[in-house]
Amino acid sequence: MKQHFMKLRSLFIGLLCLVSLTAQGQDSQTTLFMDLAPQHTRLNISSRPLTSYVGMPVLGNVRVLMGNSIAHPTHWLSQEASASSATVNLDAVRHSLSDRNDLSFNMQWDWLNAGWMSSNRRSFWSISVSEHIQSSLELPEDLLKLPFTGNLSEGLSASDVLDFSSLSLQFSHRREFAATWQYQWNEKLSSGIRLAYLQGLSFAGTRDNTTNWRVDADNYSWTVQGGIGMDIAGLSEFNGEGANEVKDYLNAKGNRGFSADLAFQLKPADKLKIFAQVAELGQIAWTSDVQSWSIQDTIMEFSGLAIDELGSVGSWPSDSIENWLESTSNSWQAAFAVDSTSSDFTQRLSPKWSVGLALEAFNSKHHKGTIGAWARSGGMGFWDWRLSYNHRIKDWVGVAMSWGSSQSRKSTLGLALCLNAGPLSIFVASDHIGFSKWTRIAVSENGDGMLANGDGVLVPNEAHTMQLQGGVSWRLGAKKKSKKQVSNKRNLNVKSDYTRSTTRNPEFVGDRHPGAVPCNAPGNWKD
Amino acid sequence: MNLLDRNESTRIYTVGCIVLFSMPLLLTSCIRDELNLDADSAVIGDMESSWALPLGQLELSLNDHWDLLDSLQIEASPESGILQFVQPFEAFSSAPLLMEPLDEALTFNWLLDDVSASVVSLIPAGESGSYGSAVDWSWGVNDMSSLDSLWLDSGSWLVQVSSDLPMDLEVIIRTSNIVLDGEPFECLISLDYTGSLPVVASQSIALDNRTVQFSEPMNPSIRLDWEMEWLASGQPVSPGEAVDVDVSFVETAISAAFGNFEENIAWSFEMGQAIPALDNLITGDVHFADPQIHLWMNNSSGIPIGVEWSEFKFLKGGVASVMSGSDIDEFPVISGAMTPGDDAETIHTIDNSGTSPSLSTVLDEMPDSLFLNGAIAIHAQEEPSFLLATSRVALEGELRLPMNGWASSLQWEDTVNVQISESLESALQPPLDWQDIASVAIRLHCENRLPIGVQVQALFLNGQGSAIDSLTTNANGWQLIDAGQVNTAGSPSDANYGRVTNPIVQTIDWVFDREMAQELIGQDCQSIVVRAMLETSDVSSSQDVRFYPEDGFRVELGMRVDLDLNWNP
Repeated sequence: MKQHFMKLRSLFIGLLCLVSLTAQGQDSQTTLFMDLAPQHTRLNISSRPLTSYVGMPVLGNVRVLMGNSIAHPTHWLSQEASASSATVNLDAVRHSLSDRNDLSFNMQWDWLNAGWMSSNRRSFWSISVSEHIQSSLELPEDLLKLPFTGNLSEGLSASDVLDFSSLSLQFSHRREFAATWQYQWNEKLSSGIRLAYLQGLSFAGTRDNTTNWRVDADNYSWTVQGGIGMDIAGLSEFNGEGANEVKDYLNAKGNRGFSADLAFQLKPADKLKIFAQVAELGQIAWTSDVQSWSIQDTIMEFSGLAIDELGSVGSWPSDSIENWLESTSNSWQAAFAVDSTSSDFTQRLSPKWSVGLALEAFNSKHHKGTIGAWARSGGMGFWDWRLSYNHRIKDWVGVAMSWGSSQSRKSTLGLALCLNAGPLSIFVASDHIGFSKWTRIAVSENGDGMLANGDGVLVPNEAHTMQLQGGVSWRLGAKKKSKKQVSNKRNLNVKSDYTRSTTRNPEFVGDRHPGAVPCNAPGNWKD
Repeated sequence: MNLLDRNESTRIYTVGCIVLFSMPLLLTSCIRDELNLDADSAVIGDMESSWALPLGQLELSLNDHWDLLDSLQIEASPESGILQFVQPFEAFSSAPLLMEPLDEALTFNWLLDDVSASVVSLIPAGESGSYGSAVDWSWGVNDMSSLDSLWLDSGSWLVQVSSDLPMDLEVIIRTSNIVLDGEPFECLISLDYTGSLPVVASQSIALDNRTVQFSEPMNPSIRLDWEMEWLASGQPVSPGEAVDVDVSFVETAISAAFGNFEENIAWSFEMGQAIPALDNLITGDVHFADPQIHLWMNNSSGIPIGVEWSEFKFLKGGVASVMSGSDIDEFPVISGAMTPGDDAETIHTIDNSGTSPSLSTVLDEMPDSLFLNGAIAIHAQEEPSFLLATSRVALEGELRLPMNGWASSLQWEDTVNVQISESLESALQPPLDWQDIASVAIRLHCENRLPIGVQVQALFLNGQGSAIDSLTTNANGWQLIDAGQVNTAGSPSDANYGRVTNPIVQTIDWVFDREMAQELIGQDCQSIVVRAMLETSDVSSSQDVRFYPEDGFRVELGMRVDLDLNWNP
């Protein structure tokens, strides 16, 4: 038995290594309150950067996120120090397949972005052109655990029902032309709004999946309910061959949409800010190269050979059974027939509500510490949340550490660093630094060549979320600001902490300058 | 200086932050483990999945399968609706009496004496004269004590006249006893003298549809009036010469006879009828609460017929159970039809109330045949009756066994020769083997709406016929499908007494586990004995149950395979 399953096991482990290495991205949640990095405004819409900026083309803001809640080979394998080979723990495999099982890959980058402060310091404008590629595959728990449970087991997620309705495939590629306006209405209230024109390039997604498989525990009859649809746009003509085809794909027409983000930030106390925002309100109308398939929600029952239909119970000729099988097969094919249409369809974005607060822990001459908390509905029934501590040294260096969860996955530790080196702002962040722990799995074979021998495959120990964001921006007026800042301090002979030493900081209004407004700060705003 | 200090401290903080940022990365960024996966890697943990597959379903409502019931000679009683086994039979079917063709003839003449010869001789040539007379023709019909009339069906009346007289003659014969549409019978025969004697002439007249009427039934006869006219030739006539007339019925069939028939004329009959419904059971007891023998006696003659039984018995293996009792000893007379063309029906039922021993007692012994021996006899007639040539008297019957009663331990057995060991070995192909199968269970989920349950037993036999194992979990080796619960309230005369009111829903698993499979593989299993045993509801208390066409059952058959995959050698 074991020999026969070795090939299967090899394939199994190989697949695990592959999926665990699949990289997946979104805006880093760790940088939510890192105002030193202009990239943080993508997630915190009402929070303004400290300076105007121009992002490096392509490198201005790159985000990659990979999610994998299915395959965790390092959890499934164990090896004693003295043992020569690892042990596969099937119980661990089964346990890891509980709850949600998905693979996702999101990648976004800005072709260009820029932001600038208005002359009255109340408004901050920014624009960006960005590319968004998002994909996810969710596999039902009951489907993955089928080899462990069978179709009739007390271990099913729902009572005697194999629920496959969570089977989902989503892929979209769109281009976003966005403009953001952030405005400080008074000392306590500010807002942000981002409007984006969306250009859809391609889409593939399932919908209306109601598939489940019920096995009656009394008579073992099957009841299969199934309905699913799939929409595809922009992909049917594209196979990746030829430069012209790629060019046509990237310059596709039609498939237009919009999105809007809106946020309000309130400062009820000097050291406390709270905000609420809604993001990704909008939709894309897919009109180009569209194809849809649908299987209507249908319930079919299978109770085995219907002896009543075979005529006399005294004779069950084989051709009657064949006829019955053919008839049953035809019935099922008719019930679950696929309808195909080429009608346009609309992809609604998933609005996300979020709330957050930032508490200024301390604010000394050179340092500022902020504690942040944030929570967001994921739009798909999931929740994101994150607690963070942000430390900023003047306007040179910002560091953030966070602890939180994305898409209801396991909580992770995040780190972010923003370093202003002269006119450049270099930013890197990850919501999950645990992925940096790796294990090498060496696969070898002892005879029949079933397993490839090599140096092994490196797989992350915690592969459920791997997220990385980085960017390089050109800070506008930073050098001048620094000189002016010193000059102003000398001239005014005022002992001031750095947050109030520059009007580049939109948060300069403080209780030690009652009634002050940005435009009245001497020698700053006109620089 | 302050500025320098401040810059210096800022640098220190900056470096500190970078270090602070980097440390977690450094601490977590390493390859901590190395796992070697090879063919010797052990697999721990369970992979015990259960797979269920519906195999089939059978919905059997008795009234949906009349074809099947017909083949078993089972039908619903028109009166009670209860299903019943019906075995038809025919005791006899014959004419009450044989009616033979008419065999009557008569000769009469005009014999000339001296005077008459002298007178006729004196008649000049060319002169005419006549002579007339009458004669009574007495009849008799077998097996009839009196005769009112006869219907003639075919044949003819033949008249032949022979004359010794040297002259032309015309002879007319009439009778009002033979009529056709109310008209009396008349026959004219001409004899032409051409110089030679005797002169002979004859005539045949069809008698179809003629009726012969007798004015004195006790002394039946018909009167013939005949008249003769002549045309003299002038030649002398000698005394002793005569004119002779012969009349007869030729192949004349009687289609009906009216009158009274002789009593005490009897014909014997004998009949044997197998009863197939009860001869396939091996063991067991049955009780038929209300068996009946329905008899239909049809008579298209007007003669009442009596039946006299010599033997009325059931046989089982050659051993007879002779029936008696009022239903047999006082067997009714088969009534005669009121008018020709009618068919009188006499119905008689033999049941427990008029039999000794009771019909139930005899049939509970599950006889294999019914044997009847007796005679039918002409019964006394108060009024004249009739007999047609087509008249039949028949006695047909049905043995009816209403499915009303109880059955206990009715056992059926069959042996299926199958190379179980080889089949089990070849049933699973690598990579699976029986080590990976925890069990295979066949599930029977049934709803029994019948007042009878079944117990099934399957024994696995080796080549020597010894039992190796049985497919059951019960200690006694039987798996039971209970009978439906019947209504026991009220009395047997109530309509729903003994009828299933609460169907039984039951689930039965025949589990074929790994150990059993390995045992059967190792012991050269070559056959399976399947036994089924039937029992009605509450049979221990002799509760009578009834089967109706609406009764039935539903069986859903499924299979469950419990895997216990063994990944290690």
